Amino acid sequence: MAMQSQDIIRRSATNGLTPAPQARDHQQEVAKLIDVSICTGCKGCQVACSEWNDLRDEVGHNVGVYDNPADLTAETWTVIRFDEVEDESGRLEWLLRKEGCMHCEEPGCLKACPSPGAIVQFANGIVDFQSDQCIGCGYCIAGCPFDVPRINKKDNKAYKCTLCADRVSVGQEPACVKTCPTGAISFGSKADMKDLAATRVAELKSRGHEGAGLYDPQGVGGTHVMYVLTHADKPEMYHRLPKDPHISRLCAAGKNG
Amino acid sequence: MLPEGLGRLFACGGMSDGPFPEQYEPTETPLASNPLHPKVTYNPTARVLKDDRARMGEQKDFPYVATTYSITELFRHWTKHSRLNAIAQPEQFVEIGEKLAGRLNIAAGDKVKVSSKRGYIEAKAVVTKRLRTLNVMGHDLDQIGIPCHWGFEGATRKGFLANTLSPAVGDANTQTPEFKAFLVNVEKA
Repeated sequence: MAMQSQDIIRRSATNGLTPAPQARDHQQEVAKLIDVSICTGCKGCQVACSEWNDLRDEVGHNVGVYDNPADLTAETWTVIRFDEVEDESGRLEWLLRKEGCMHCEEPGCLKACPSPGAIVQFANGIVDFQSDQCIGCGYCIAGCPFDVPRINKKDNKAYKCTLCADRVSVGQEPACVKTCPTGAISFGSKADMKDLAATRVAELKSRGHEGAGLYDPQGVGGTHVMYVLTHADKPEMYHRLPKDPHISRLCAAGKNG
Repeated sequence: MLPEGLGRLFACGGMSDGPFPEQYEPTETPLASNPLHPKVTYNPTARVLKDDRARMGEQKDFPYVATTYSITELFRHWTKHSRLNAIAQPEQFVEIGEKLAGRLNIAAGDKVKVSSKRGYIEAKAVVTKRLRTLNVMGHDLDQIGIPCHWGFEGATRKGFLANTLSPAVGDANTQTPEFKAFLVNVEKA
């Protein structure tokens, strides 16, 4: 569903001769900030996401971990990742990370997509799939440096987190942000979220988390979903969050140049 | 805490035990006796019926300590009937420490059988670093965790009742059941 109230700054497989709507002023870049040090792994965000987006995944299996559903699917757009990590001294940490679309400033999915207008980026930074234009080729999956999009076998179309573009366009925060009981997820302008992150990082450092920092990877131009990590120097500890994600050169050289 | 906002050192009557707080072992304990006073191991005023007393296991048959508890995704046996909660935690599991799992050749995701003197359950194994082998009075002691939300029909996958395993012991004053410490055996199913 195209958001008619949003300017579109990028549109997959489309050249500059047919520009997307760009008439609106006062479009602010938004961001979601996830502070992993405050997350308790309650999965409230998962449930709120499914409620708002009318998603009901299969009742799956326990595969020997707390993570459930076991992975992102076309009908599960966010999952909490649970990782038990011991440092050199044997101190155990249970690291939690809410996984989902990062809404890259330079979206690999959009660059890889061959179907005109199936993936768009709004002026506020949100990267959204326009399912009616999707041809189900799966190139977005290959193009994503975070392995996020999934094809739905029911309709052969790709799905992922929309950053609740529908809620955001009417001035509300995403459903996961609204429901988070510990305040681990914040939402606002990207500038405000970076300020908030700086405050949190300073506090974490003052409490002995020397590796604390903001995850806003520049290899994809920064992201509109950012993390405050207690170990920002080793993001791989959080369920293989890539340290320096890049768009594959093969994808970048495709139809979208 | 009392209505005036303070606690009291003495129990002022109305209590089955006291006046001082006391350390007792669970009715089913892995220890031979209470380390503080060997003659009285568990609370003599706890409510236990005669036939239930006969269904207490011993450590030689049931060498591990089990604890039942709730997890955030589910509430009692209510929310397993809700699809979204069932998606978030679909299938019954027990938590087993890495060391014990290694010794019993249990891998994460394996089906295991947990039994006590009173019955058994089968569940998936979540193998975790968070449960560590304890050293109690010079002996290694392993504890396993048993979330309690499955059993009967529901939106989740079918499971067993965790309270099949637990003993029927009521706290001396509140009758709160003793589901936090009892003895079990664990094996690969």
